[in-house]
Formats: sequence, structure tokens, C-alpha cells
Amino acid sequence: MYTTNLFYYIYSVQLLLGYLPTDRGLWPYELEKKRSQYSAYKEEFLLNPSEKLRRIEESKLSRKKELNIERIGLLPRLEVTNEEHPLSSGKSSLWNQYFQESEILEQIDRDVKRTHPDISFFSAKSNQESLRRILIIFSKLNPSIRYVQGMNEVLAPLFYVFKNDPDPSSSASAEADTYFCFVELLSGFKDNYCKHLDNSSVGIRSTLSKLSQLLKRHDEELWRHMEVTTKVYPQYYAFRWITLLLTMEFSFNVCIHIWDAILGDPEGPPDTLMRICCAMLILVRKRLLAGDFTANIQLLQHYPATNIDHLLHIANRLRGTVAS
Amino acid sequence: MGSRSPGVSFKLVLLGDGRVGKTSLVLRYVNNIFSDKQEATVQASYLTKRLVVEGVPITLSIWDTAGQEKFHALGPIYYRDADAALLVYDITDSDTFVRVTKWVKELKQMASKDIVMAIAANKSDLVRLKNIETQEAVSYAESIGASLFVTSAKAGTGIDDVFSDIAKRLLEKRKNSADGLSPPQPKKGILIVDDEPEKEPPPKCCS
Repeated sequence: MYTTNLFYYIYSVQLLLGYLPTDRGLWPYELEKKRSQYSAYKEEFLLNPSEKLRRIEESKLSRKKELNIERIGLLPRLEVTNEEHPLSSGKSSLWNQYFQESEILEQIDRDVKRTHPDISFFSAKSNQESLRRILIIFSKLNPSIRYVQGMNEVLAPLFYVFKNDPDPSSSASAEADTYFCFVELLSGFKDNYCKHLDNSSVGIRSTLSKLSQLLKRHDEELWRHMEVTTKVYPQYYAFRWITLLLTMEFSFNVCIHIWDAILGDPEGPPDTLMRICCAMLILVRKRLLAGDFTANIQLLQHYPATNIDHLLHIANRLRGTVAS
Repeated sequence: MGSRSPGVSFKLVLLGDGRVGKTSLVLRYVNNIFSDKQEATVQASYLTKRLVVEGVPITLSIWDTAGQEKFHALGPIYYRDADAALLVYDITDSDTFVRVTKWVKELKQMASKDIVMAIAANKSDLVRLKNIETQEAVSYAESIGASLFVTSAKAGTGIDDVFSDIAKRLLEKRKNSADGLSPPQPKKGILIVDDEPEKEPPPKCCS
């Protein structure tokens, strides 16, 4: 599952993700910049309110000291404004925000702990902490999405690859690098995660019906069998394929290979993912045509191991046909 | 639903908050396996289980849905035409019970009127037997015509009971409607009993 060619992919993936400029000479500078930006995010989003307030007070105090340097002898009193009291219900209270977000934090915590429990790498506390921090920072910087269950699954292969980079300096910055690649990877798919877009022309429902149309266009017999005869709609199996970018359907290195193809395609990530999903159906069409509702749902929810090059080849042949 | 197996087929949906053990309950019931670190369910998984109730072969088509709110928007496709709903909460976390009551409200509005409901108070292995406090839950279950079962997917207790109770009540209901008898009577809440005397199964029970 974890072959060395993963490390080959990481560099092509980094490039394609737009994380690094094409000019290799600029890499050290760019990496340095991004990594310090990530440190700033951690400072800003991961401190709890009491720590934040303490720091605010500290800076106030030091400013006061500078201003009132002559009034030696008076001890300044720590000022906690009403707004910032933990029991205050004021909307802008740091504590209020903190409590509102605690549900999300709890959800992230739970899911991180059950990410690939079968792989010891993910049981390591320090690795779990990294995943947790990345997801929290993402949720704070993307308030319309926040955290959607399964994002931990998308994150896992990226972090695994970065953390296992043979170069120790890269491995040490794995968390920051993973964060920015994660952001790049999801950027073309954000609308699928937005609950308030679910019923719009760009939300997950419309993405699912695009898949249905694509299948109909290329393999009407299969489409008819799926949606008319056995009533196996894309909602039942492709929701996970699409929202999790096929993470749950394939092994890590296959995923990275597929994401590479998705991100590098001139037709753009969303359409490329659509074509790959359609190709997955076409690839197992014989079994689907012979199956009933139960057999087909189970086949598509546990997609069989497959030759990935062949899959991408079929997806390629569907080029230029995804309805916009 | 396309199943060619003999007997009757019913659709069952599991609903409840995240990480209360829906997937673990189903996996214990269908495959008799348990993992302490079950991965989160994204959207819904589909499983089937065959069982025989009073000599009638039954196929349960089970939709194990995701607990997170985000997937709520797609919830109706799973419960809209469900024959039964198993509502699961974590016995050690009262918030998850509140979520069950919310689901019941939604089902009453959106699902079929006579959907059979059962409640599983899961993770009983985490509390000492004498500390299991289900009084409130039992009376709530009674008030909505559901039965309540204390279960542990980890220990494997109470699980067959809850699923076979659902299957029995589904069969009963189907009998009544197939016989064209009186409309289904209001069901009483039951707490882990399965000794209700049953009538002979009617010859025609398929629909």
C-alpha cells in the first residue's frame, strides 16, 4: 500500500496543487512563507480564550507601563470587560464563540481518533494532533463549510505522504504543507460541502444528477438498468465518491494517483472527477447489468480493486462530455 | 426492492447522533463483528439480513445512515419509504437522546404514517448495570408507540432482541393490512420482552 512511488507523486502533486511555483529555485522561499503563515494560523485559531485574553491583557499592561512610567507605586488592576467574561452572553464574547465552536471541535476530535484505526501511524498521538489542528484551522477559515464528516479521510493520505517524506526538514513541516495542499485539493469542490447550496445548481444534488446524465449519454443501457429497473440512484453510492474525492474507495497510493489526474486535467477538477466516477460505473457494467438493487448497491459501496491506469484511460475517453 | 428472495422484505433505517454506535449495532447484527474504532459513516451504508420470524422468511434491507447534520439534507431518501426506523442513542450521553426525540418529530412529519419505531439505548457496557437509568427513555418510547432496548454492540447484548422485535411488529402490521382487518392498533412500549403470543402467520403475506 505504501510504496516508494508515493514520494515521487508528492512532488508532482505539490506542483499540481499550485502549492509551489513551477520555478524550483523559488521553492525554499515559498515554503518558508507558507510555513510561517501556518504558524500564524495556529497562534490565531488554536489558543483558548483565556490564553488569548491573557495575552491581550499582557500587551495592554505593557503599553500602560510604557505610558505611565512615572506613576510608579500604583499596581495596575487586571481589567476584564463585561464582554469578555466567560459568563457573558454577548455575541462578540470570545468565550461565546468558543462555546459555539466546541461542538465542531468535538466532532473533529472524534473523527480524528477513528481515522484509519488499522494503521498504527494514525494512532500516534502527535499525528492525531496534527490532523486535528489542520481540520480546526480549516473550519475556522471556511465558516460556510466548517467541518464535514469525512474530511479527515481526505486529509489522511496527504498527511501520511508528507510526514513520511525521507527528507527530515520536509517531514518536520508536514503539518503546514499538508494544510495548504488540503486547501488546494478541496478548493474546486467546496460547493459540494456547503449545506445551503445542496439544492442549488452548484450543490451536491446537481453534481449527482450530472453524473446520471453523463452515464446516460455514454451508456444508456447501463443507465436504464441502474435508474429505471433497479432504482440505484447516484445519491446512494456517488455521494461519498464525490464528497470524499474517492478516498474511501481506493488505497492511499491509488488516491494520490487519481487526485494527481484530477488536479492536473485541463477540464478542471470537478468535471474530471465526474468522468472518473462515470468510468467506474462503465468498468463494472457487466456485473451491474446482472445485479439487482442489493447486489448493485453493495458492489458500488465496496468498489472492487481495479487497474487504475485502465480506469483513467476510460475516463479520458469521456472527455468533453460533462454537461455544465 | 428487487430482492428475489422468498418471503417478505422490509426496509429499515438507522438514525441517531454521530458516534452513538449505529454502524457497530448493524455490523454486530449482520456480521457479528465489533471494532472499538469504527470509522465514521459518510452518508449511508446498505446491508441486508435474512431472518425467520414465526416461520416466515424475512429480508431486512438496512440503511445505516451518517450521524452528522450535514448529511441530514439527504436523510429523506433513506427514511421516506422506510417500513421501520431504529433510533439509536448513547446511554452515557443525554444529548444524544435529545437528538432521538428530534428524529422522531421529523419522522412523524416526513415518513410514512405507520412507520414502526424502536429505540436502542446503546453502549450499556459502559455503565454498571444498576446505574442504567432508562425510566425517562422508556416512558418516552411508550408515548410514541416504540419499544426501547438496552443494547451493547461491544458486548453483543440486546441486539438480536431489538431487530427481531422490529421484524415481528413489521410482520404483524403486514398481516393486519393484508387481512384487511382493523387498522393497526396503537402499540405499547415494551422493554426487552419478546414473549407476546402470536397468531398463525397468514398464507399471503407478500406485497
